[in-house]
Amino acid sequence: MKENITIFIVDDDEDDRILFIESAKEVDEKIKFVTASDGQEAVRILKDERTPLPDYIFLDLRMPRISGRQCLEEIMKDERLRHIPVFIYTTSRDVTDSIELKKQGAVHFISKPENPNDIYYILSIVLDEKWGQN
Amino acid sequence: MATATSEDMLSEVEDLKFHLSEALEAIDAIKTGSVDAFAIRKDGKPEVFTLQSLDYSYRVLIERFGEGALNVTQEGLIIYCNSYFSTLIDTPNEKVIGSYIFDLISSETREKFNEHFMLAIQGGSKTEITLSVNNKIIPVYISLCSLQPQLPTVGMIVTDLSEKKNNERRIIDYQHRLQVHNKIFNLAEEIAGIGSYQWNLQTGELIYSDNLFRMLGYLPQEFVPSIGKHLSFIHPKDKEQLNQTIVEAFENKSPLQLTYRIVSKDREVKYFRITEKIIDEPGQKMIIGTTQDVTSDIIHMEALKKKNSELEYLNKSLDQFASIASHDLQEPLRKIRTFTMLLKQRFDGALNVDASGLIDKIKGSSERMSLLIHDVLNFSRIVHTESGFMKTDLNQILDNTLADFDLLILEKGASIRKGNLPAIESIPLQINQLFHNLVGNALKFSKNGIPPALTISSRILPPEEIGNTSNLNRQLLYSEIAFEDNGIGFEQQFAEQIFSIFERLNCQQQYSGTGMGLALCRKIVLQHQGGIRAEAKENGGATFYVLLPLTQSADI
Repeated sequence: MKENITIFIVDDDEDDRILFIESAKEVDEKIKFVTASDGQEAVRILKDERTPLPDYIFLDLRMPRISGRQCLEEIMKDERLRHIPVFIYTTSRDVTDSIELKKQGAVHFISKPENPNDIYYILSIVLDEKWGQN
Repeated sequence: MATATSEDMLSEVEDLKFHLSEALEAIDAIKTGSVDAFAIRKDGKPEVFTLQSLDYSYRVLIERFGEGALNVTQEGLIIYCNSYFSTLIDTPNEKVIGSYIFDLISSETREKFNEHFMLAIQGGSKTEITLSVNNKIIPVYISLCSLQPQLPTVGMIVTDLSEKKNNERRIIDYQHRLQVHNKIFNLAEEIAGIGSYQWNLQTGELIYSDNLFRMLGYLPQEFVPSIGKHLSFIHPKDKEQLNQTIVEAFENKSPLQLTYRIVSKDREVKYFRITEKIIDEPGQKMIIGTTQDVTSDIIHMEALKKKNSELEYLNKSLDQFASIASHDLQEPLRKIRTFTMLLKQRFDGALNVDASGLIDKIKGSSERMSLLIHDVLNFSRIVHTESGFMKTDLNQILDNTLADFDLLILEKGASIRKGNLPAIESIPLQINQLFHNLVGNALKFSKNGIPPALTISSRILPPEEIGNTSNLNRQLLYSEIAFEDNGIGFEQQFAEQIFSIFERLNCQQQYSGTGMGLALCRKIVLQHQGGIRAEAKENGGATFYVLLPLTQSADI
């Protein structure tokens, strides 16, 4: 696994952000996190060239102001940002949503799990960690 | 030059006298008819003049021309009749001659004939009478003239009017029929609530039917229609549109159909739908049109439109609700489950048994709530599926469904018997859901300790049974698929209730589920123009009858 990973979490739900970070820290406590509580803030932070680019972006869909979908569009339009893998991380289980967003450039569509343990497994796959290790 | 002697002159006088007396004699003879021919010497040769040759052509003319000709004495005795006349009255010539003219005249016109005959003796007369011969009435026109002083008789020319009279009668007959047709037409227009008009483009004359007057609030033929008057009925806001449409139709020579508003005599606004046709034939150039009062149709249509948009709004609200339900309601629910799980994981050792049990109850309830929301969503989505009908082999769908339950069937030791099912036009996914729910119920609601037995069979529904079930489309063929189980059954009084949303007859502890399965089943069959009903059996067990049409429309 890569050293000094930074994950950018865009989610208006604070609980979800905390749960996600807690689980991620279990996978690797050295992971750094940047958070934004809506799409507008996310776009602003990402476009600021002073902030170092994250390695992964986890993007919620339903957020006030700029939605995850619009945010994804902005990221894909930006030459500097478009190579960063974007994971849609949402409550939605809608298959058509999933297909559309992948077309728009998202690398994966993840439904938020009910069991917090599942976040750990998902992340370990995402971060190229082998299943059952650790 | 020789000088004539007195004897010579005397002898010439004698000679001339003789010639004169001869000539006078000849004239007398001709007058009295006692001479048929005479000879005149010319250049020493005699030349014969036959009187017949002068008169013959007239006789032939009279004999052959296409009118009857008679010569009648002043007493009415027929002394000559031509062949035309004898043919006309269908009596041989020799029988006509010698009979009295009065006997040939019909009693109705005899007096009239007598008057004209008297006039004719003094000069001439013409009139129309009818002949009556051998019970046959022949209308004729007669022309009479006295042949005096040469002959003491009356000449009579008879023109057959039968054909003319027949034509006249036919015309009257036609007119009569036309009047009847007009009456029927007027009545029909009144009953059907339509009016009609004809506009003669050559004369400019405009004719309204009686009912058109009524539709405009007038009495039949109360005024003389004109184009100006006609246009004055049209609602001011519709005039321009109407003009444009008429011009287009005129240019394209196409039949015109349009709806516009008129303002009647009582200032009432009505919707008229007119259909116009231009007749452009030699000698006839006109526009004919019918007018239908469609005011109530339009009012209904607008009400329907309003209802439709209301419905659309409601559907949108439902969509919104569905979206809220799927995300916003699921969101906190997911959190409850997540945090109870965390609570249990992190404080497992620190909690006593009671607390642990309570946490389990929170977990169970929130899981159930999640399931409910999921099912409600499913239920509302069924309504929105409009298309997707395709030929579906129900056997295959049933096999797939049974495969889904493989484990449960094995676990419960269930026996399944299935008959042959038809192929129907359906939305396969929905039928899959339907079968899934019915088979699932049969397995779920089994009696304790008795392995479930499910029999699935089908038959084509006889037409008389289609009539017995409401909501079915009588133009379609239906298949009835029966799911018969040996489970706990239900009380027959609840047979209808079980299909209502959230209706459960059994306690949740024993039989899990949201109580939406059968409601969903009913929704699916309704979507397919079908029906579903349940029958409880005496010794427990239930049979669910699903009625599905083989095709969705009759013309396939």
